[in-house]
Amino acid sequence: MSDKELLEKLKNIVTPYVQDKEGLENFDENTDFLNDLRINSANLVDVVLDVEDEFNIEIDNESMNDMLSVLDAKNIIQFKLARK
Amino acid sequence: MIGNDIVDLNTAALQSNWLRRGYLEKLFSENEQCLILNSQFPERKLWLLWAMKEATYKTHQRRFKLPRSFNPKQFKCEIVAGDKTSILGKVQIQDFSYRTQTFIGEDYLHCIASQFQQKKTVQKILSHSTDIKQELILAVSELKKLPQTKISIKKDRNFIPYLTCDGFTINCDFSLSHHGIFSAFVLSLTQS
Repeated sequence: MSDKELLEKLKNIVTPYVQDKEGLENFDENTDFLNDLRINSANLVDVVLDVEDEFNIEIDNESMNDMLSVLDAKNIIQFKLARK
Repeated sequence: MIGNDIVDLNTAALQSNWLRRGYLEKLFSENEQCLILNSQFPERKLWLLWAMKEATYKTHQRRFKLPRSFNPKQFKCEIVAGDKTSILGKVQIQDFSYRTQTFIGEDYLHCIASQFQQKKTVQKILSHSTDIKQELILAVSELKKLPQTKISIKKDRNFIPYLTCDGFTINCDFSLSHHGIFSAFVLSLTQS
C-alpha cells in the first residue's frame, strides 16, 4: 500500500471524530490528532479500533500509547502490516 | 499537583459507542469492566472511571513533565466512597497513587485528581461559555495580586499549559478541561 493510499484511508477513519474541520484541509503526516483535529481523547480509542478493522491488524496497548498523530499512526500501521 | 476532567454526558452519549467490540477492553482493566457492567447505570460508571483516569493522567503528566501518551489502561481506578453529589476515588499508575473527587451534575461529571489531599481549591464549571480561560486568569489575578491584562496562558513542549505574567512564569497549580457544552478549571490555593 502506498503512503498516499494509507493516508487517505486514515483521513476517512478520523473524519467522524474531528472537531476542528479546518484541520482536515491540511491533513498530512504532521497533523496531530489532538492539537490540529481536536479529536476528543475518549474518541482516540475509536480511531484505534477503526484502524484495526480497516487494516485487519491488532494494535496492542503499547502501540496505542503513541498513536497521537498521523505520522505515529502511519508508522504503527506499516509496522503491523509488515509483520502480518 | 492537580488535574481535572469534565465529561458532558450528553455529548459523550452521542460521540462514543461504548458497546462496540473492543472499546471497554482497550480502556479498562477487568476489574473496572466488572464495575461498569455490574452497575445500575453502566454508562455513567464508565464516564466516572474515564474522568478519574483523565484527571489523574493530567496530574501525573504535570508532576513528572512527561510527554503526551494515550495509556488509559495503566491508570487503575478504585472507588472509595460516595454519595449522590460526589464520589471519592483512588487511581494508581505504576508506583504512584492519586486521590480523586468527582462531582456529579445532572448533565456532567467533573473530576479533580491530586497528589495530596487538596485543602483549598477554586473550581469553576461553565456551560455554553466562550471563555473559561479568562475566568481562570481572573482567579489567578486575584490569588497572586497580579494585573489581569498581563497574564496569559501558554503551552510547553509537552502541551502542558502554564501561566505567565509579563513574560515571567507564574508558579501556580491549575488544570483546564473542556467537553461538549462544558468547560472547567481547578486552581490550587495552597501552593506558594
